[in-house]
Amino acid sequence: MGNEAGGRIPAQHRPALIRALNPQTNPRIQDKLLASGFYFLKKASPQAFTPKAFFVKIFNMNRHFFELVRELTINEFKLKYKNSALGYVWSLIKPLSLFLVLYLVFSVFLRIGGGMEYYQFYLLLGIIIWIFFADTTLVCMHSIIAKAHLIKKVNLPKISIILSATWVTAISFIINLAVFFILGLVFGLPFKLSMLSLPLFLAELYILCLGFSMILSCAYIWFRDLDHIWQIILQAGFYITPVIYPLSIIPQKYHFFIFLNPVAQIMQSMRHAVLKTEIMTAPHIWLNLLFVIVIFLIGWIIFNKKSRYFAEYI
Amino acid sequence: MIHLQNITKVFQIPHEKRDTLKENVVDMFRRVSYEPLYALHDVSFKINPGEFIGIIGPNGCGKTTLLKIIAGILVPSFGQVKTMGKISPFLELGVGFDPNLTARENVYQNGIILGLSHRDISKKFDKIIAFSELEKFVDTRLKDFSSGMQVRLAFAVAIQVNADILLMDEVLAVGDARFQQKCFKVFEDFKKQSKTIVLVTHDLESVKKHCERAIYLDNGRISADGKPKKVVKKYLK
Repeated sequence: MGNEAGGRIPAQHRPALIRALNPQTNPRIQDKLLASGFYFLKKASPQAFTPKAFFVKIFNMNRHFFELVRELTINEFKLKYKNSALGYVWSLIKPLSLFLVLYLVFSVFLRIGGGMEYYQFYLLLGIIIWIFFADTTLVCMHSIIAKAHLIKKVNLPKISIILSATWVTAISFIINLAVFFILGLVFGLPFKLSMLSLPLFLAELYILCLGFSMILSCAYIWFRDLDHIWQIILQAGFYITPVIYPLSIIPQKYHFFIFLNPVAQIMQSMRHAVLKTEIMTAPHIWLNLLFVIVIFLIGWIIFNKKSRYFAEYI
Repeated sequence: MIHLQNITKVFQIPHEKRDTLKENVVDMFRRVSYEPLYALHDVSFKINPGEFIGIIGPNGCGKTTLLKIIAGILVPSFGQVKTMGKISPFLELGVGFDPNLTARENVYQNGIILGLSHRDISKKFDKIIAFSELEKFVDTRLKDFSSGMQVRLAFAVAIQVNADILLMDEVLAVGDARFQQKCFKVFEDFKKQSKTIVLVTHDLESVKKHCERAIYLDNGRISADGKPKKVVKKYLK
């Protein structure tokens, strides 16, 4: 401490008597104080600050947390498809079958997307993103209750349960995206430089999902109706968000309301990055980013406040 | 070291259950009446490093609540908990065991939940399996295990945890006589390594035999604290 405060003599250069009385320089006094309960006097020894050392330290401090999240995620993913013959192929079949049905109905029969180039990719990307959002928020909402046996018996960082639940769906999402690009290669989707901006929007989507998940999982513990309410919201959201239809069929004056929905913003931005043709981009990307961060912060604050009491109420 | 200062834990027991929207809307203006239940009432004590302490008392006197508060699972309503050293709570053996995972996967999951690192478990894996005598069943799913086998596996993982403070809640009640012998042998080893052990149990004989100190909780208050023989005598009176 001493050598950080400006103007003070560093601890190791002070006279011997002072050093002997100072708990930070005399290990024997330190031990005695520690034994009598003044544990807060123990300070880490000051080290040279380098960015690499900083990250290594952060990682080492949180190594157990990372391992916990990884282990929970891997096992959850294994369990999800353990007893089915096709295994995690199901996480592919779900969006693809929905895509086939919707494509038949809206492109072949109703001809909504008929005039649009690459409508099939537009639709498929929308479905993949929407399924990720819906699945993540729903799974996370239930995850705390589903892991009640853990929370009641061990003092875990509760956020690890939410994080592992988001990563289970994120793995499916990544596989789905990979399939999307393989299909794009096969059916001649041209490569665009703007595709490289995709990771930014993916991160934004993930943070949004995480924010919603933290809020929902806390609220669900005290208010069990939320399960049904959120499912209705998701159902309506599927049509309010431009998953199926191109935005051009909606009058310009309503676009503002559509883009109030953060998922719609991110979805359009990603489509614009991948397809680029006649797709309206989200007009207020920065505003949206702010909105996402606010949702995340609200979730973070609520979760930190409430997660201490989970063991009592579940 | 564990230092509890004036710990009080109040549970609010509602007189009616009101979880859903309908119930909340219909009864919006009628307040739910709660009855306070004092699980712990102004409990203070200090446990020094290396002590083996037994906590006894009738059912519902707050023993498990006390352990959960020390472990940080529950938050006390009033008072302060100070602990030094890594705590390992064994409120139950095999926390996080999943019947659909294999023994190997469960060992890793359980170990990491209890605070071991992945590398530690890999290093100690053979030891764990040898201790639990399950060499043939490493890749068998846990649901095909007998309950005795599961307990053996869980205990083998639990004792590998490198903690300074061990909290045990009726862990011994499950095994057979041979298993209990094994448990106490492990406890004696822990004692030699000057680890703090807090044991909640109804088995008064083992408290008298192994513990150095006993605490008798009655209705959320400390009724006696001291030499195990004296405390047990008071409890039985």
